[in-house]
Amino acid sequence: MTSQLVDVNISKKFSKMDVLNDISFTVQENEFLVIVGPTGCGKTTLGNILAGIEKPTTGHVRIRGEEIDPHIHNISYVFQEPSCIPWYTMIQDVTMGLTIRGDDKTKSVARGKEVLKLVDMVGFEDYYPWQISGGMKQRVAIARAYATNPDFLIMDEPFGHLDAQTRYLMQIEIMRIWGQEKKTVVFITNNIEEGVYLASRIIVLSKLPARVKAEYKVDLPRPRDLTSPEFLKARAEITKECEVVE
Amino acid sequence: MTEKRKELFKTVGYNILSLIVVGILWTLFSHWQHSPFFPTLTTIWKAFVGLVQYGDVEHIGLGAHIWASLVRIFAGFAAACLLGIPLGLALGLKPKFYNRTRAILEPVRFIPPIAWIPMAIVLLVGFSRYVFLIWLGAFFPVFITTLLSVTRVNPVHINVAKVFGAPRWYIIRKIVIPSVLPDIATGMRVGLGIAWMCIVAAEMIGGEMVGVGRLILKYAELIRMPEIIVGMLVIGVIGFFMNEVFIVVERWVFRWRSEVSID
Amino acid sequence: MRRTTKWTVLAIAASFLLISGFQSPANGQEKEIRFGYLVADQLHSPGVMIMKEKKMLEAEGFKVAWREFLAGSYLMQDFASGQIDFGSLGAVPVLITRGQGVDVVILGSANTEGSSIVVKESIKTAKDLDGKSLGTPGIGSIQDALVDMVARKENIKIFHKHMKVSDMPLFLQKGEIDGFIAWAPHPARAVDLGYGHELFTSNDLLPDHQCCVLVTKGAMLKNDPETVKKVMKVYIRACEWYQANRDEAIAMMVQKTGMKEDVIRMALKTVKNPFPPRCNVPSIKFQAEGLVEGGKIQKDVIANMDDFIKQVYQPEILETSLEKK
Repeated sequence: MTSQLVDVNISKKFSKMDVLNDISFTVQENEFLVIVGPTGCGKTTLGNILAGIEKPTTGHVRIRGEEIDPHIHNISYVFQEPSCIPWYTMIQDVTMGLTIRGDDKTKSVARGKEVLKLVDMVGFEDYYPWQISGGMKQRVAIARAYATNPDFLIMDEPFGHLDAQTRYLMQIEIMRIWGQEKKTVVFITNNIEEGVYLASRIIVLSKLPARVKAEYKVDLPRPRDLTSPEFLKARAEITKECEVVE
Repeated sequence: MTEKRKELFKTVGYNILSLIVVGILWTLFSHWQHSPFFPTLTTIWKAFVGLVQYGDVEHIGLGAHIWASLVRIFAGFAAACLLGIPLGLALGLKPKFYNRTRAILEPVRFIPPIAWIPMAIVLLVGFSRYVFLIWLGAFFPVFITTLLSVTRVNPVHINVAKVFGAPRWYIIRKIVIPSVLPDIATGMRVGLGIAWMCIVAAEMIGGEMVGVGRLILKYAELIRMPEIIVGMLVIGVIGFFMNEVFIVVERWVFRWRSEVSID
Repeated sequence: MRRTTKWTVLAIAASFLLISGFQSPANGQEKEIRFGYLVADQLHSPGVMIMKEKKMLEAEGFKVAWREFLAGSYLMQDFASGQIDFGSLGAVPVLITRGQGVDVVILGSANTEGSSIVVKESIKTAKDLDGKSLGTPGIGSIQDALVDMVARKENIKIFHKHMKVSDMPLFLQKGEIDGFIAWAPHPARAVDLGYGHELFTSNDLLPDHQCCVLVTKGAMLKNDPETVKKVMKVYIRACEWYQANRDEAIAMMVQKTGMKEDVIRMALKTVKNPFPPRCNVPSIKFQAEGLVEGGKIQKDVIANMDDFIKQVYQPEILETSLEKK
């Protein structure tokens, strides 16, 4: 029986505009929760609020009962845009979270090498971001997110800027990585197929102002087969849900 | 030979070739004109040698003039950076302060150093006058680029640090400052170029016997074109080398930057 | 690519035509002459001042563009580029410019002597000037040459600081220079303001030395002697007027310089305005020799000094203008 880790109950307004309207859900420990929603419905805002770098207008995000705070809690975020720090080598980049925490240098470097191995980027320790491809940069971002052993890992459309093929490969990769080091993940995407492939559970958001439209459990065994009838059925159901005109 | 080597040779080669072409055109033109106001290259060379060996009409050597001007420029430039960079960072991080003080700062930017000369003569003395005038020229490029560079820091990089719970000083020291350093370096390079251009105006005030600007003016009073041209060329060549050195240093310090090329 | 070249060529040709169009002078009834003089040189060149104030040249049918310069070398720069027809300035810059091959000739004299060295209180003798700095109007000026003379005679080192004459009293007061040399009335002004005292006058250093002269282009003398003669006649009349109406002239100087009358009178004591306005030829020769020695005129330029002097000082027009009354 997995315990409830994060409790979300928020609304967000920018000036006069309602962006998130009474979003309420929980995240179970070590589950892979996917949040699906149309483009521009405020998903990134939701991601920022979950990570604690933006504050909701009303409501709370609580982790184990405490108000979420990046200074206190161990949170990681994989951003949509390439987020590798340009003047850091790969090893310096992935150990960033550990350095900020003040961890011992040798231990940090060791963990850094470990996560680089995890994302299959061994040998690139001394490379600069400009020397590697977009897909590789996102892998490093994931490695960096993993390096701190976070309690809560948020990914905001991390594969959105990659080409279709790399995207497929990265979906397989992220499943492998998550399989090796299980973490509590909230994965935001607008790609339903991606959602069904990755999720333990899916939450569907409506258009702006966003609210929770539906929730689905995806019980299919991993690794999932994109062409299996069960997969396609789940995908069709959720697609229909998303396309319901408001 | 590697592609890079080839390209380097080509660049240097074409530059030398264009200098030779200019030299040939100059020689033809000066021989055609036959005027004391358009000296031949040999006359200019002789004037240069004369200035180096015997000095000018007051027996002050070319080296002494160059050194005096360089000292003044670097003093003014250093003052400009010491004030411009911290101020630019501070106002960039607190845009409200900058917006509320723009009525004071912006008009000053448009007053050229030459316009300050009468005030500088009355209020300041000797070396400080030069430092002030050159500071005026170099300050604003450095200050403005620093200020604007802060606003251009990529918010993603800041958020990466924020999510890991980094305190504000960490974000400024480890994210903002490394982000803005390349832009500051560019601003500094521009500022140094302008400082070098101000030196002639500053040395026109008089009261000093040395300086490349002063050298040119001395020979202007004697209507001796060859020495005037030597002075101008000295300024141009030194400025050029300063810029090139700066670029090389920039490239090495910021080797994490990729070179964007159109082809 | 070809289209851009065509437009570029057309643009250049058009601007050429425009510029040359502006160059051709309007050949009206009046003859235009451009007359240059120095800032606050009324005491040295009272003839020029009187000509200007009483519009004597305009009365002869000339259209005159008067232009003021900070020092003789700047006047010569514009003269060399063809922007000045007549000028009044020190003999030294004229000699230097002639040495550069510029076609300038001296027609007559404006004054002799007329400069003073003013120093701060603590300097009492020439020897005290050793290691000190004096402001001069520029490296191509008679004043600069006089300082060189003092230094040579006393075997000391004086630092020359070139600056605008109008700035000199201020620099002296601020202590940036220990003294300065300038043409009257600038030294008197500094003394009057209490910034220093007069150490030497021209008379102490080089009695009767030629100072300001009247010049024109050699080409003008050759091609348009009538104009030059007319100008000379007016100048002589102005000089005559100066000799006869001293007080009125001083009132003019007071008004033009903005200085008090007693200061002007004190300054005038150092200036000599000979009439008839003939130049002191031996003095000019002496100054030319000094310039060659000091490297301000390049040695190989003057083959024969006497020939050089004959070329530069051409008093024929002056003499003919003096004869016919």
